[in-house]
Amino acid sequence: MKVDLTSSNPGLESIFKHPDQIITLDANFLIPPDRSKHAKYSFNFPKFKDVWLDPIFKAFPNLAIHEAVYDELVLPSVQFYIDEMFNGTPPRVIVHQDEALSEEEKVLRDSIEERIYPLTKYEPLLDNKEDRGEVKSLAYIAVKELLYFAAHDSNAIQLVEKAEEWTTGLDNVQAIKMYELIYYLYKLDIGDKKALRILYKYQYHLTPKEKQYNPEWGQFISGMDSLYSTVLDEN
Amino acid sequence: MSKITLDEFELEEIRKLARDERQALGFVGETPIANDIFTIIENLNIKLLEYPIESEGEKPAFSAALMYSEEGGEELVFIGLNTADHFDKQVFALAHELYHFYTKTGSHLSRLEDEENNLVEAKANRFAAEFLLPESVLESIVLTEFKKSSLQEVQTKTLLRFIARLQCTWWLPYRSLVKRLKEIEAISDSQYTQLYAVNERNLEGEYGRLGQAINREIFLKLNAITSNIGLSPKDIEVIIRNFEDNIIDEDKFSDTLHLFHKTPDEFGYEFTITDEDMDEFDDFFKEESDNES
Repeated sequence: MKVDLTSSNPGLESIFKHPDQIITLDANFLIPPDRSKHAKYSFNFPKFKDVWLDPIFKAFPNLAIHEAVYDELVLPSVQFYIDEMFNGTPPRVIVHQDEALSEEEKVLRDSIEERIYPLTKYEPLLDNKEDRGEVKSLAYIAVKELLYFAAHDSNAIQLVEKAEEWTTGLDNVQAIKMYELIYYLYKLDIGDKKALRILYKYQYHLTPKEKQYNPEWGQFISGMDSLYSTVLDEN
Repeated sequence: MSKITLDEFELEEIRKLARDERQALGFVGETPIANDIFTIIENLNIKLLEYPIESEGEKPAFSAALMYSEEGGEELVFIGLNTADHFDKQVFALAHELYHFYTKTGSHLSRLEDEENNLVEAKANRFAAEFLLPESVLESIVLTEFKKSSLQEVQTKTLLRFIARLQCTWWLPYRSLVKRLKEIEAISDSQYTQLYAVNERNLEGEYGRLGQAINREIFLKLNAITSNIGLSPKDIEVIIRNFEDNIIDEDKFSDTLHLFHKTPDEFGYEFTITDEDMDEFDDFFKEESDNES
């Protein structure tokens, strides 16, 4: 997964200003990453919760997931965590439900799904699990005119970033990447800084190829600082 | 489910299709296709995915499946071949899928009603038999060997030897050959019943021993459950190019190759982690296990 330090993400700028906006998460933001075939180690749930989940739920009061993403959370520990967030008072996570869509919205959702699914492994006729969460989430977000989809999957991100070129109908959606929120947490001093650095290294700067095209932690932070200096100053 | 019987018109259509396609591929007259079925599929630009999918019962979960997909306006065709099946049945299943390919039928996207589906499947089976061993060629072989078109007076032993030789040359499953002989009316109903009841997979049985005596290498190959996991070298190359062109990342690259029991380092890509990073991970992840203990 590439880290882009060439231009700032207006979505992240806006989140810096208003962290209480609804940010819809893809499943891979909630599932502990496992690159043990490269790194020997994988994040277990308690570690991932400390390093990532607790800090993002602390930083952003309106995180959301689509019900199809909830169905993808096969790890009982992750499901339990989300259940706890959902059942909190007030609820700490919003669950987007397709039932809440009006008839007109359902028609619009279907037309967007129709455009997205050929670019994924999801096949509506089969209603298979692969990429179901991201297709359903993105279509819902677009229909409800929500702005942000946070994902750590290059295909999901491309569906948003290449919306015009691929005519996915997601032109108004903005992708938020994991490294952008790692930076956000780091700058706002939420979570453990060393742990965030390790998470960045684990996700973006691990293999020789990643080291070729992605900056190491120090360069990453200074590069992001340059991109977001204005919004940081305003804050 | 009622047995589907193809009428003479349908049979002639299938014979013609098989004849035309064989000729187009350069298989004229008494030229067996046999193992060349794999080259044919590659040359037709069909992506072959071989994977053993065991079933719970005696029969394999499925034999093969043809799938169409479209990418950037270009049609991609895949055949998924279940290699948890005997090799001769794999060859037959591939020829069966070629019928669907040539006639654009049978993809999972087509939602045919059962009856219609059964008819299409019956045609595909007949095509497979015809494609691998044309009826006219079989008739000619029978006539040349026995100097007559009927084998009704030929003793069973001789028939078994004949079928074993046909099988080792034309690579059809034993039962398909028995069926073919019945279709050309070379054998009687009772011969058909008797031959069909033979346990052809028992290598210690009469037919098994005959087959091995005729061509041990080929016969054992046809009776093997290969359980191959594979993708043609051309398609493996597509996976590598996708990685090199940054269409897929290293994790997807590794995972995809892993499906076919291959690793990135076999293709010169080593994803080694530096000692410095490993030391850091050791400390970071070890903390957690220390805390847990």
